[in-house]
Amino acid sequence: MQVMINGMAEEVPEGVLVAELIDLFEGNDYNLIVEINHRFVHPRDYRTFEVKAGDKVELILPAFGG
Amino acid sequence: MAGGRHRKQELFPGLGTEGQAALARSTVLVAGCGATGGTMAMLLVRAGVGRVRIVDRDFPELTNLGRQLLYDEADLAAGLPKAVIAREKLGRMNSEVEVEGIVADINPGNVFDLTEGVDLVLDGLDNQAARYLINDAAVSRGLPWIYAGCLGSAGNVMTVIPGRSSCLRCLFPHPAPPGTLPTCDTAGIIGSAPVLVAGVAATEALKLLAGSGSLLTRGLFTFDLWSNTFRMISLPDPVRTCPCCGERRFEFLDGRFQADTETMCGVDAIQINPPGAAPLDMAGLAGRLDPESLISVNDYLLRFQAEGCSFAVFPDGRVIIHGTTDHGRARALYDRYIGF
Repeated sequence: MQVMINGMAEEVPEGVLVAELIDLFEGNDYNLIVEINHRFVHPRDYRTFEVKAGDKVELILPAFGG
Repeated sequence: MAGGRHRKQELFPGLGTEGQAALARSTVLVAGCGATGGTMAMLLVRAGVGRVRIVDRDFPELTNLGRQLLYDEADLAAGLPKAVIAREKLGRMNSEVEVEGIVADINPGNVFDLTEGVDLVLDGLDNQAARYLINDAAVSRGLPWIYAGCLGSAGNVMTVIPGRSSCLRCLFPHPAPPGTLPTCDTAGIIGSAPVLVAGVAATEALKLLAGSGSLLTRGLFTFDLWSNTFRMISLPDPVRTCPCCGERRFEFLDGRFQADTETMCGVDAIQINPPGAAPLDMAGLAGRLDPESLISVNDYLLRFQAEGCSFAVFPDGRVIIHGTTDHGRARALYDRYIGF
């Protein structure tokens, strides 16, 4: 199925979970802010939240510099 | 009053003379006075916030000058701490503002004194751990604070109003393990990112202090100037299971996440033991360092040098920094290059 990740169309497996998406695209980096269809996804839900076809996913690196 | 210092600001309908008077009655803590903190401090002092307390643990250095707008080459030669230089320069920008400069590393032992009597805390920090500590202190005493972080060409800003909005731990329940986050010293940064972060955070501060709290952002503002992305992420109400604002467990105030530092006997070195030691990804950390600074890496030891010190990093997260006996400097170097 196709989803948009950070504005780019990507093919991902049906029923992919947020955690699996992070593994695929961000190399197991769970220190991310995840937003799907403009809704924040809490880190505790990464292993249960299923991504659907057409979802708009934003994977954002937190910034802790100053 | 015509011709007054803040006339243009008072003409702005969002503030007016009442808002300006409210700013003059306010006290703000700027925690960390580097690129983001220094710019925020300049904006608040010039805007006429009554009292601005600056706290910073560092000295300016050459690699700061590209983005830390408060400092210049003469400051490098003077060898004074940033908080002292900031107090001096900010005082010249607006002598009507009471500016306090405190040279200190923010820790569980001093965070309550530093936040005493302030209306708002602005985040100009350069590491994750101190932000969790400020979050704990602010939530525990019901004090608003503004998270403002940057990296590369990107930045995040979030206004935390305890009891009304999400806090930092609603967003990031647990700190990333040491050595897993990029820092400005490993991933780089451009000067415009902290300026934008500081501008957004200082505007949030003006709204809050001048009584326009209903106009505060409700979420996380995030941007990347290089890819031209600007987003406001809506956040849910405070998370009931949040360890900090939900369950009111202030684990960073307890000091359990504070890195231990100890002087190494007989050598010019300090050992740092990070909290909650997790195995370090040695190759990953080596890959984030400037290749020219790297001396050697294997499964047992990573050695690199930076800022006149040499670092020995062990897989259990322990780091020995040779070339300093100053615990605050060692902690700052750890935050910059290993990251926590």
